[in-house]
Amino acid sequence: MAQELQVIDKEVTANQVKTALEDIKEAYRDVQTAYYKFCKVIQNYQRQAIWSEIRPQLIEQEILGEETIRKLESIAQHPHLMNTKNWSFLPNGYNHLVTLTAIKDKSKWEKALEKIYPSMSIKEAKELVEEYGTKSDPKKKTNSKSKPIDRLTYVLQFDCSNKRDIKTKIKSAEEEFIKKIKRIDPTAKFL
Amino acid sequence: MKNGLYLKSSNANRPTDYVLIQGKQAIIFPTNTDSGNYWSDYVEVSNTSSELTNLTEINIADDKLAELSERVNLLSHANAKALFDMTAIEVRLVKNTIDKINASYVRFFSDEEDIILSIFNIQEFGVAHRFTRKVSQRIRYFKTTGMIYEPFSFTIFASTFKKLTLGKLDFRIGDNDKIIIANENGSTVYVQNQKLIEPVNLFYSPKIDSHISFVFHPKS
Repeated sequence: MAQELQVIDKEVTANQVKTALEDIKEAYRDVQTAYYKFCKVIQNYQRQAIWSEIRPQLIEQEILGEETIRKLESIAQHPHLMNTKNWSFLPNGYNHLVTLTAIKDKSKWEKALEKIYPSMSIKEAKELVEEYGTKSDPKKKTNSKSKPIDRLTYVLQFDCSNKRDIKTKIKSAEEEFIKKIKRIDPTAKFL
Repeated sequence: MKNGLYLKSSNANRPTDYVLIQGKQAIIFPTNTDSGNYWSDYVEVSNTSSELTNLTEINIADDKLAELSERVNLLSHANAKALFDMTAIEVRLVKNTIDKINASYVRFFSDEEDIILSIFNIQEFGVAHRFTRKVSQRIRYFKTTGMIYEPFSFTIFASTFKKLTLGKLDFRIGDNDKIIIANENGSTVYVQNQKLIEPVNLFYSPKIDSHISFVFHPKS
């Protein structure tokens, strides 16, 4: 009988712990969401012309400090951090987030995201930046020249005696070239 | 130091700068000489006026100075086309690239979700350069990311980029053709768009998974 009671107590305790964990998790998620919503508000004003008026007022009225504003701006202008889909994975300390802003490349960010989790330490965030951020000494390409087969030379010749026409002719030559490329590859995207 | 307009002593390598001091704020108007003409493509606003030395005051009416200060402040009144930052490593990388290829311009432009910097020397695209044998037109691209609200193209002198402090920099591309670059020390630089685009047609072909560029033929 005594043994049975002990089992029941354990179950109750386990359930209580489980509920508590869920509660805390949910509250933490709320904190996180509130935090990103805060960054969204900053982002919304940051793009507007009046930001140059708002920013000094935030400091003057002691609403936020210069350092905090700079960090929030940094987070707010990072498209991957501000993507709502990523929020549940990210840590909510803004020092962690500011560290992660150094990962810019989309494909590298996606790889880094697999290793990002809410309770990660600053040290771990820095290690991720070391791995996926811009390298100070990018590996030199052994041969940056493309293979001859990949190179395409398209020669355009036109009369340049009338200098006024040169610009127009270059423009139409360019359009002609683009048309030809589009014929070869309709999916080609011009910058 | 009291409010007013000052001349900052020049040395052999650097022409005179004009400095407008308003309390803690110093607005620096750097000048370059080009065939006797003074010009500059940027203005720097610093919050450390006390650190400036070797200044000689110029007598200018207070209302004119206030007007000048107001005009500089107006430069920041613009909606952002894009907001992004560059880490110290990225800034150093671009500066090194400028030196390496002797670049004359840095162009920032948007390509859908990406912000691309193209670093080039416009003289290499001129006929005189292209006629020489065994030369090529070099462009270095650097890709970063940020918030893009409108497509943009913004070109600055490479020499101006090189003058930016090493360290994390925040960039704001304004819809008034000015780029605002802020550093961690609280200094802000307002740079004018030079509107120059490298004469290269670059595009990506998903079919062959390659970038293709269209440049002037070396012998044309």
